[in-house]
Amino acid sequence: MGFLRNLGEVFTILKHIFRQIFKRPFTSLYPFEDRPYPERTRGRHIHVRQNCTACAQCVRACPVLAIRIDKADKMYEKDAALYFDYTRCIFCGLCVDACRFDALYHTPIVDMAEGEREDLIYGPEKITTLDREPLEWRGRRFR
Amino acid sequence: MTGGAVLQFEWFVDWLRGLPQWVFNIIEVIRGIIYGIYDWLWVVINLLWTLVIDNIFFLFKAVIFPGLIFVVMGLIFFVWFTRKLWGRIQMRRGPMHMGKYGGVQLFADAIKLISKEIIIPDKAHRWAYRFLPSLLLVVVLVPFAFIPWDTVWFIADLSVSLVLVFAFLAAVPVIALLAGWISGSKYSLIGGFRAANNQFAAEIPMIMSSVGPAMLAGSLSIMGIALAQSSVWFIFLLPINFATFLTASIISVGVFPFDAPVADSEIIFGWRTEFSGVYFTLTYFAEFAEQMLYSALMVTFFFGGFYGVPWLPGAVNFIIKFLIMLFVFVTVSSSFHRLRQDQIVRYCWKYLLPLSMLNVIIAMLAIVYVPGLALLLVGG
Repeated sequence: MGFLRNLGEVFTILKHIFRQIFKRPFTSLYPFEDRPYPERTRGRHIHVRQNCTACAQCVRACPVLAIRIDKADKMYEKDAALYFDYTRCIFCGLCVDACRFDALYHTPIVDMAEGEREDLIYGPEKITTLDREPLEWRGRRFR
Repeated sequence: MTGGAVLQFEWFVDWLRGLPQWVFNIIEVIRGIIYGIYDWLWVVINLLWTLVIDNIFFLFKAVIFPGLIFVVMGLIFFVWFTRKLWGRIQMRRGPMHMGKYGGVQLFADAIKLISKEIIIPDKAHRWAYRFLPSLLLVVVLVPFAFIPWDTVWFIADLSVSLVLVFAFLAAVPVIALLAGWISGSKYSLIGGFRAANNQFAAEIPMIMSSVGPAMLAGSLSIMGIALAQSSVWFIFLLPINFATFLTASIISVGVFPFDAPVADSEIIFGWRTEFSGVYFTLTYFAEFAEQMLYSALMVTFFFGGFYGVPWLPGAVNFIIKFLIMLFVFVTVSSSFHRLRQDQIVRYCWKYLLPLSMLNVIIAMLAIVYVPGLALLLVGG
């Protein structure tokens, strides 16, 4: 009887494998597709310059001196330009906590690899927007 | 009389007079040799060309369609197919970056493997190390000559081709054992002995399972077995034999549930550990070619060979069934965990061998006692 039971298990396994073949693969095309991250992931920041008051509380809160503020660079009435140095940033979130004017947020984007160290210093034109060049793979454009 | 100096001078004049004739003779001899070679070559080339023209259909079959180029193309496809299927079974995507759906991945891999350095260990036997992988691939590719792709499209058909194919396939683990022995490494030696152990376990059940079709067809020729299934496929009479043949062939190839010879996590890569570069490529392809060969044999023995959809050519029928068999082979061989060597032997001798004989006996009794079955087999 043990033989027959083993045979039945063999066929159960084969049935499972056969179903598995026709399922969608679990792997995502990672560098091209976005990976789904939780909403509250502390990834790279976004700076909303309309709300910013140039109070520099984020600069004071930063424990690793990753943020530099340029108060002369004004786009609106009383805002300032922020420079984020992601070679230093530890994504602790203290700057976002320190901001009382809803001007600084984390985003769930964590893939920030660059070829040069200088490219990891996000100036005002990079930190205020989430847009980037879409990646292309086999004629499909992602993001 | 004149002095000795004049005599010497006259002799020199004579010698000078004969000089052109001497040069001419030498040129004649060289011309004769060249013309002789030329004439001989011309005769040989004429003879060869006559042979080629007389056997042009056979040469076409041997080289292009069911022969070498077709089999190698099928091998390339099968490696891609297997890797894609493994990917799907493990919920991966498989090769996808080189070419459309990863179709050119194999060529990239082959270029990488062939361009690698060939490292021969100090303790290895050098000529055997260089010779055995090619021999393995040849031994695996030769039995494809006996596969009947159609009533016309086959290369050779002997009255004992079934026995001959098994003779060739029995040489594969011998080569594996030799490769393990000559590599001069403990792991490859253990792997070689495990390959021999696999063959020891699987060969008798496999041959017993192929006795069923041979007996029902009344022929030891693979073509004869395929021709005998014009009215009923043998899978309906010998289903257990098909299962035992499939299992025994998986054991004999040494792929997944029975991959003790090349168990990557125990002995590094079994008897292939020390092979590098192009030699590893050859052994790797030989394994896939063996799987293809067993799938083709199963189609021929149990699934009616080239019989099937009547309005399709026989070769197309065969190839469709062949692809389905490849799918079944890869699916079955990637579903289970690895067995120990003694488990393989016990499994084969305790269950596989009696089962394969049981089905043969049942088929014999059915032919004798079920009225009309023998007539159906004959094709009435």
